[in-house]
Amino acid sequence: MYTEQFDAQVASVDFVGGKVGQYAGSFNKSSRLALYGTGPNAGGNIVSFSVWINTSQLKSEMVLIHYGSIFGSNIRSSKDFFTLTLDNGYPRIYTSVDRYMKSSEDINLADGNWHHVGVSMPRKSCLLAEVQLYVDGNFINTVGPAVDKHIFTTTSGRMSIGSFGYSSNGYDDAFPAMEPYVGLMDDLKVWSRPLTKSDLPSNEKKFRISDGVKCNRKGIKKKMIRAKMKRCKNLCIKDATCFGFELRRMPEGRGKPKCFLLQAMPTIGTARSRTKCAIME
Amino acid sequence: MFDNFLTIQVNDKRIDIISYNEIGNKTKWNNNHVEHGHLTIDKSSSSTNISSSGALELLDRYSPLVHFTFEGVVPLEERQVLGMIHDDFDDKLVGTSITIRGATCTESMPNEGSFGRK
Repeated sequence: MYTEQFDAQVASVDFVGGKVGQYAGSFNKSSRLALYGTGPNAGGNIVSFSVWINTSQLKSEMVLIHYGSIFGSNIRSSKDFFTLTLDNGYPRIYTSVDRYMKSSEDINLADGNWHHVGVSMPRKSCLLAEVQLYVDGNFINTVGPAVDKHIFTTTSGRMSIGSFGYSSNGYDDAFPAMEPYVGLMDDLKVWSRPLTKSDLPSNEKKFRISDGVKCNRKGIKKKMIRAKMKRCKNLCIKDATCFGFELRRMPEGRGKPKCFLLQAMPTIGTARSRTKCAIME
Repeated sequence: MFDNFLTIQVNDKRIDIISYNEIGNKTKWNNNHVEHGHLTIDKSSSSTNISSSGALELLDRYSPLVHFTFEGVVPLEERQVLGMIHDDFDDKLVGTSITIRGATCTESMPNEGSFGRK
């Protein structure tokens, strides 16, 4: 535990009706919310996060979540940073001045409604292109970067929310058009592991085996392999309902539940729109 | 000057680590430290016993490390951040304000995640 090291120091954040719980933070261009403790990014560590946002700001690129170096005026020569922005309503993820990826789908989030944004590193030191973006629980296809590199963030960085916060002034010089976030924000979470389905808003109807509902896998590859129960549990982690994995009784409806892995499907995300049901044990 | 330190006691079957934190009105040389957390690994019996608390409490790395619910803020001085170079760093140990990019912060939003204070 780090006690208060990862509290956020706050200025000019108002509190209004929230998406989760009673209140949300209302940010303006003067708002500050930043964490003094260094990390949680460091080197190739896995860091994933999610947040609810609500904004109508269409004509700017705004900083949502930023992990950047405290020191140095020339951030081009330093190690990676990790920054989620909203560019005219579209999410972008940067790890350096010249390296970013963005949504390739038409998902403008600056529509004055609440949206859940999730960013997941699938493994340590992954490529930027491997970072997964989720909006409202759905996997979002991305494009970029033009030249990729394994992520290795600075170890002398801090996390700031809604602005460059504690980071060095080099970020202002490198991104002169980037602005602080203006809008609402709620329920911000940061993990040291990849996101799982349970971390995302669920749009999926769940069924119990006892309901006798059959899955319709139309449109997906049907190749399935048996996985050891331990692996299934590890992947599902406290939640037996996982995209890409299901516990089935074989023969149909009888016997002990066994774990099946749908090879064509990722751990979370994209399967949602292609799978009609998931079996909940 | 040191505002924090650890004591570590080791014998054949037990490790005790205790964290101490400085308290007082002065920015340093308060000569007053209080226990701030502990970690004990005891292998004196057939099963290993591990206990921890405070600043040395073992982390749940599956849960969110950082979680901001935006349900409210508290005065900055109620949430001492160790080592923070705040606006009055030369005068007192625990800060009441810190300036971030020209904005004076006098409040703190507690981290509800596993990195936070329980």
